[in-house]
Amino acid sequence: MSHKNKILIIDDEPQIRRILRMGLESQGFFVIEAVSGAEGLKHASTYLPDAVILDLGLPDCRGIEVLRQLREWSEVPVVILSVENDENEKVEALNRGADDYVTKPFGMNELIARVKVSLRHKRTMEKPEINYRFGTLEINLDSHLVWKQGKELRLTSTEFSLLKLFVRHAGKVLTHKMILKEIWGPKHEADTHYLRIYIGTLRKKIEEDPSEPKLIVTEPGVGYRLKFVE
Amino acid sequence: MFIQNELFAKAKLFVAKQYLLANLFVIAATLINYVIEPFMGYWGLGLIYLLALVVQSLFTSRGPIFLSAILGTCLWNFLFIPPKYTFRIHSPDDILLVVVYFVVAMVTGTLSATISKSKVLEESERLHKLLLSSLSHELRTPIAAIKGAVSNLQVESLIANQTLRTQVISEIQVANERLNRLIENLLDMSRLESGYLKPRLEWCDVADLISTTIRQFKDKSHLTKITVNIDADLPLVNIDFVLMEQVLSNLLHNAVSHSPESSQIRISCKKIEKTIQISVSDNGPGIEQNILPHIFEKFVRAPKAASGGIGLGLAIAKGFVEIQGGFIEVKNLPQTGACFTVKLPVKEVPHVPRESSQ
Repeated sequence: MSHKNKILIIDDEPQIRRILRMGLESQGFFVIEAVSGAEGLKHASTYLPDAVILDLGLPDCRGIEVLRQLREWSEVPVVILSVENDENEKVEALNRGADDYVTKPFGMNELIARVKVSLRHKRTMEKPEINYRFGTLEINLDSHLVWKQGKELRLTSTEFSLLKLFVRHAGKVLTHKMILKEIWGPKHEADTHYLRIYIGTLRKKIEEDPSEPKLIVTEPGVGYRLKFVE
Repeated sequence: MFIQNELFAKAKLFVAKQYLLANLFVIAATLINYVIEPFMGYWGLGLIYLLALVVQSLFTSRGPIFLSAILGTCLWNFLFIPPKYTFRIHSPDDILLVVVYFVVAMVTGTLSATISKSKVLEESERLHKLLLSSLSHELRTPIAAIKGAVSNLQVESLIANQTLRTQVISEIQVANERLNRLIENLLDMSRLESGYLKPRLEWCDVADLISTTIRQFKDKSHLTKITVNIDADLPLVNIDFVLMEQVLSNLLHNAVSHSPESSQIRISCKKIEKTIQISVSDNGPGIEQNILPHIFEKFVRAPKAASGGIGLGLAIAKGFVEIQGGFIEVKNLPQTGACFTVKLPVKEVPHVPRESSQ
């Protein structure tokens, strides 16, 4: 029997836990449930799950706090469940080391896709590759070369760094702050206009149709995500 | 609840105007008195002031009435009651007259204020009932649909039939979508009205905004064609991306639900003078003339609107646009359909260092 990925669900709503369990088990995951932040942290250290699904609105403490304590000793992928209209909270969770988020009410397919991406990402972190392929886009990080439909693209060095950052975190959402800090340095963390301009020019070069981006998609109020295209 | 607050807010809005009106009434009465003074004793002039006050009480609330009572008394005494141009009064009869005038004025003011307040309450009660009945209808319909669909799914023969099963499941999805939308709108409205909603203004790319909104829209509705026409090289605008996305999504939703199936919805975006203008137009029947001026008010819906919604979408759109310093307007198109335009101010974008290609 192949190894089953263990998923820890930390959510106080029994109905949500039941539905998550049904969906995840049907996809071959092994599910562990926790009803509170404290129990979640305990289970995380006992069972060492492969991924955690964490509700931000827990009764005993804020989900952010659970995330902070978890991150003190564990790099396990964490997918956040958050409510609509609270971009600040999502952004905070992502900046504090959450891997991704889904917004309630969420679709099961969406959640499972996010969990799978975060599990895959965990593996790619362990074995870094140099050549990447996203649809018709090919990237060689080592030689700084990028091709679209076999044709070489000319990117500026900032555009390339931006693309490289996305590739390294493919499938994951990156917050504005993370990107700005990484590319332009901590002084420019708030300069979102830099980002808008450069994302615009990068999309013009790499997207098939820049008015309908398929690779670098906008996550409203949060950041951007390079979509995993097989 | 918010309807009542709105009525009071409206009443408050007019307070400044009411005080102005009070002053105008007193001045008008004084002018009339000047003209008719040669023909009439100062007793009669007092009656003119009283008449002006009673008429005024039809339009204003207590404060302005008190103001004109006091002003009227003073002016009448100063200008017309002997000895003229002093505030002194000689005859005890005249003192009684002035006191009676003042008391009558105050009583009138209090009564009219009570009446207008009870009118406001009555109106708000009416709106409450209206809201509750339409809300419970709006909530119950999708719940009933889900309940019905779920009990259908318990029928063995139905589960066995692939087509029927898909159909039932999609019914649940539609009902779910509708419930979700309604709750979202209610929450948005109360966030907006609580005054706690602070827009997070950032420099945003309008083209990105539009494509993101449409992307999320396409998953939900596949019957309508959306054509987009965005001018090249638009400057960045300083808006709250998430709120503006909600605005566009509400406008799109409105356009979809008011135009015939598989018709076309057009989004265009251009820079006109110092504004970026995003417009959403449909080829539905347009908006009736009597509704048009009220279309952005809460709970206002077109009488022939397709089912769904309680008339919050456009009110939210207007509220969201305005807290970001923008402006929204609507007009009917010459042939058919309505066109909503969001106007956002263009500000100078801070400098971004550019570099040339490698």
